[in-house]
Order: sequence, then C-alpha cells, then structure tokens
Amino acid sequence: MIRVLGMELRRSPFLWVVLPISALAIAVLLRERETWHAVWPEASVQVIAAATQLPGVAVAAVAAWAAQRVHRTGTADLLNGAARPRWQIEAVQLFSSLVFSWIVLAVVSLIAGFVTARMAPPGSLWPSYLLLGFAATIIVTALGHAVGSTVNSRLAPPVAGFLSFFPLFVMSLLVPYFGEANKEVSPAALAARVAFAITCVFAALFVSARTVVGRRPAWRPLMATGSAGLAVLAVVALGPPQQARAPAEDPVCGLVERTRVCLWPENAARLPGALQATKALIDTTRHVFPYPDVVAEEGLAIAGGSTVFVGVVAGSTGEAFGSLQSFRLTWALLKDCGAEESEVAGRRRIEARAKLDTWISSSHLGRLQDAYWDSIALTSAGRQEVGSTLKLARAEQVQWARRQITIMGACGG
Amino acid sequence: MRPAIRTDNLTQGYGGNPIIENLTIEIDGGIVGLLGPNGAGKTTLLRTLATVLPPRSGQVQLFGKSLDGDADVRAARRHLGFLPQEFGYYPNFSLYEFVRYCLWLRQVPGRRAREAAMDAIEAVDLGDQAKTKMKALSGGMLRRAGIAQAVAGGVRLVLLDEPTVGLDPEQRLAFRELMRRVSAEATIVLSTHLVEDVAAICDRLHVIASGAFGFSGTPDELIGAAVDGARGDTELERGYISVLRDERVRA
Repeated sequence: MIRVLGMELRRSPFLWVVLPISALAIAVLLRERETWHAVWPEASVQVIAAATQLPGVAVAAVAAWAAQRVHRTGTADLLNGAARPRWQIEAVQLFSSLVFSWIVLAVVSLIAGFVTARMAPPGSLWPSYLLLGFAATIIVTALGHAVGSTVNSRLAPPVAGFLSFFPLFVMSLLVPYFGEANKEVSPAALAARVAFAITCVFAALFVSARTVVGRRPAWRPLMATGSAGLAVLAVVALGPPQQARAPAEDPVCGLVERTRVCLWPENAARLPGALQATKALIDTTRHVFPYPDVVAEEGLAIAGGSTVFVGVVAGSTGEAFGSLQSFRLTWALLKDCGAEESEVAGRRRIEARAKLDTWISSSHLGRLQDAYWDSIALTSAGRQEVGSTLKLARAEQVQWARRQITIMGACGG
Repeated sequence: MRPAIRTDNLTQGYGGNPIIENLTIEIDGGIVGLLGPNGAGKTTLLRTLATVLPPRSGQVQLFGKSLDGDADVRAARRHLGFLPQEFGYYPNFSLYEFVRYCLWLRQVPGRRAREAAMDAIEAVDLGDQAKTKMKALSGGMLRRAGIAQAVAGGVRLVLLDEPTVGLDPEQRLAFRELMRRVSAEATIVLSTHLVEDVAAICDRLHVIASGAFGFSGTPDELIGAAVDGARGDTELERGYISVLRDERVRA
C-alpha cells in the first residue's frame, strides 16, 4: 500500500500545481501581515483562510482532474476487474491528493508561525483553528475527487472548484474570516465540520464504487451522499465556527491618567497602540464628558468603576481601537427614550451623536475625517457643521460638543 | 480436476441486444484460441470471463467455483490476468510502476510483487524500458506491457483480447514462446484475428459466431472442416471460413 501511495504521489498532477498553489496561499497570507502578525489566534485564522479559500478552489479542481484519470485513460476495465475493492483504489489516490493539500496548509502554517513568533507574546498557532483548516482541506479535496471520479466531462474540474467556492467564500461555512482574541473555535461546530469531512471522504470513496459483480450498488452512493447531506445540515444548524471565550483571568492592562485600558492577553502587542488611542481620546474629550474608569476589550470581566467595552476587530490598529472607542462612548451618552419618542426627535438626537462622533475622530486626526468613515445618520449639513466647529477655538468646540450631548439626552415627544 | 472456466447457459449483451445466448463451455488447461468475425461476441465473452461484465443470466465458474458473491469473485480475480482489447494505462507511470500497480490491484503481496513485475517485464523483453514512462512507449511496446501485466504474478488463468495487434513478426514469435512458457502453469484464452498465431500456439480453438460456438476442436480438426472451394490463403483459414459460412447458413 505504501509503495503504491509513493507511486501515486510521484505521478500526481498535484506535483505540477502544488508550488503555484502554495505561492498563492503565501501571497494571500502575507498581503496584510501587519494586521495579524502579533496575535496568535488571528494568525491562526489567516493561515487557514489563506490555505483553504482561494487555494481550496484550485485544490478541488485539481483533485477532480486527478480523479478523472479513470475516464481519460480508459482503465475502467482494469479497476472494475480488480481483486482489490474499488474503495481502496480510490482511497490511495484520494490520500495522495490530500497529502498535497496538507502540504499547502503546512507551508502556510510554518511561515505564519515563524512571522508571528517574532512579534507576538510567547505562544503558538491555535490547534483548534488548524484542525478546522485541516477539515476544510479534506472537504474540498474529497469533494473534487467525488466529482472527478463520477463525472466524465471536462467541466468536472471547474464544477468542483465552483462547488468549493460556495462553502468557503460565499457562505464562509468552513473557516472564519477573523480570529478575534475574544473568540475561539466552537467544539460543536468543529465536530460538525470534522464529521462533514469524514462523510465527504466516504462519498468520494464509494460514490464510484461497484460491487465485484459489476452493478453499482444504489445504497452505497446513496448512503455516502445522504450522510454528507446530513453533515451539511449539522454544519448549518450548529452555526458559525466560532463562539465567545470565557473571560480571561490574566488580561493585559495599562493606565492612561486614571483610566485602565485592558485587553485580552493575546492582544498584548496591541496594548501600546490602545493606550495611545485612549490618551488621544481623553485629551479630545476633556471637559466634554467624564471618561470611564475602565476601557476593556469585549468579553473581559473587569471590575471597578464605569466601564466601556470595545471590540478589537481582528487586524485593527490603535487608530481603529480609538475609533471604536469613540463610537461606543457616544452611543453610551445617547439616552434611551423608549418608543414614545417621535421619529423626528429621535433622528435629531441620533444625528447629534453622529456629529459628536465625527468631531471626536476628526479632532484626533487634526482635520475633518473622510466622509467614508462618517455615520450614515450624519447629514451633509451636519458634516459641514462639524467642519466649521473644528475651525473654532478649543473652548468653543467644547461648548459645541456639550450642546450635542445635551441634545442626545433630551427626549422629545 | 476442476476446469479453469465453465459457463452454464451464459447469456450476455448490451442494452436490449443479446450478444451471447445460452453458452455452455468448459475450458481447462493449455492455450485456447477464440476466433470469430467482428461483433461475434469474443470481446464480450472475454470481459464476462474476466468478471468485468456481470452475466445477464446463466452462470460462470472459474477454477471450479461459482461467482455468486463478492468473496468468490475477488478470490478468482487474484488468479486471473486480463488484457482488454482497449488497453488503458496511466501515461505518467513508468512501465515498472504500472505493472506493479496492476499486481497491487490483484492483491499480490508486496514482497512478491517487485520480483513478479520485473520477471514479467523481462519476459516481454522490455527489461531495458522498465523505467520508461508508459506514454513514451511505442504501440507495440504498450501491447507487450499489457501482456506483461496480464501474465505477472503467477496467474492461473490469462485472458488476452487481441494480444498480437501492433506486434512485429519478431515480437509475435517472442509472444508465442512466452505463451508456451506461461501455459505450463496457467490456462490461456486468447482472441485474435490472426489465424497464423492460432495455428502456431493454440491447443484448442473455438470459432464463435452469433454468440455461440460454431466449432470447437484442435487446429487440425478446423483444417479438416474446410470444404471444397472455400476461400483462404492457408488450410486453417479455409477451415475457419467454411465453419463461418456453415454458421451463417444455419443462422
């Protein structure tokens, strides 16, 4: 068996494409490395996204092409008349295709591990994410193999690639896009994806299998595709691959004046940026509203005083942290007036929040921020008002900002 | 002694067309030739005996055992070598790898397979091409590669469909010698259009026409079946043509 596997590996069409596919995966991985290279979970997700999404489509197509060998070479009689069960024959070829897809995953993991180890606190790529990627590579390779071994058409490889495109890209069913530190792989979702991978392998092995007397047994492909279908339902029913983590017991914290800024330990490398952003916000909002005692990353349980929770978007820099903080702070200042408030009054208060938010961000930048980043509640007149305010003296700007807060807190009938 | 091949009322065909009807035969030992015009059912019969096609009705026994269940068929296939008329191969495999792969399909243990593969390749005089990729072999070499995979590994039954197509005269002589050697251990059934091959190596002949055996006997008996005025360059050809004409008249 090992010797035949060696032959399959040496003669696989993957030999010709494993380098370009790996190069593609590495290019995708390193394209925006500064957004993940200091955070292990984010690096882990980037590894599996880079190794499975675009390359996964190519892997599925090549696996289909490889599995079509029986149709191209006219060896059906040879295989159908073999003493060895057909599923074993398919298994060796499928395994050789899988080895190449794992090589891509391994190469990308090594590079990401090397890059991240230099920037992040001590740690490693998260095995649960790698397992998710491992399952995804099995799914797309087995899917390609199943399509190729059953469809004798030149369209089979693009069809296999297209079928992989949906779960990986469009539906993001198999792997997540980001690996925020406050999230982890859901064990149930992981189990569903592993089960899906196993059923895909079964489908690939048995969908083209015949009994020795030559009739294709209806129950085998039916059972294989049926179980794969059930596994898809389980994947969909059990939801996204990630879930919230239990609060970390050892968050990393820093102090800005009297405000504590705390992040998940995995985001330790981002603490200086977060402190800097918080300092800039405190300076901007001084005399406008009292700053909270604690600014904590979402998912942490930090005791002590008023607290605002800020989500650290995977890949975000200190600037983004400041922007999100401003967003949360201004929403916290918006009074909840209930359903009795008229739509006009509510809209006026929401626009006041949008103006305040744009003013905070723009003050921090030293100029009116790009309209792209404005809240959709901000009208063009409101944007002009913020622009004019920024040209006023600091004391007048503070007065204007306080007026916005007053509007935000005044419920209208 | 149980015959290598026995069929009882075997009926075979594709779609709605029966090609072989109620064929009952027994073949055991030596080299047996199948002669017949195109479409007579030679290839269909060989594919059925090779267990690639399931019988439509009737029974096939190999080595004295009915092929009723998976286990029986698999057991028979381990001792059966088959060269199809349309010989498919993996172009990127080397000749050695391909023969070795075919032995793996036949579940020949790894320890024996290496030696068996090289022996078979040497036997068809392709030893110096063992590392050559299949796609680089000529048509004649490919046919010999197909013969090598069919006889490799000590099989007890060899089924060859048009094995000498594409072989030059010298290679055909070598093929006949190889068949004589292999027949010491195995029953060989071959179909061919080349009557001189049949005359040279076959112990028994079956002329198949319209899905039935119109003649069964030795080459000498086929020669004896020739009628006056029958066409043909050799005595055997005249005998063969006579049998066919007789079959057509009967049909």
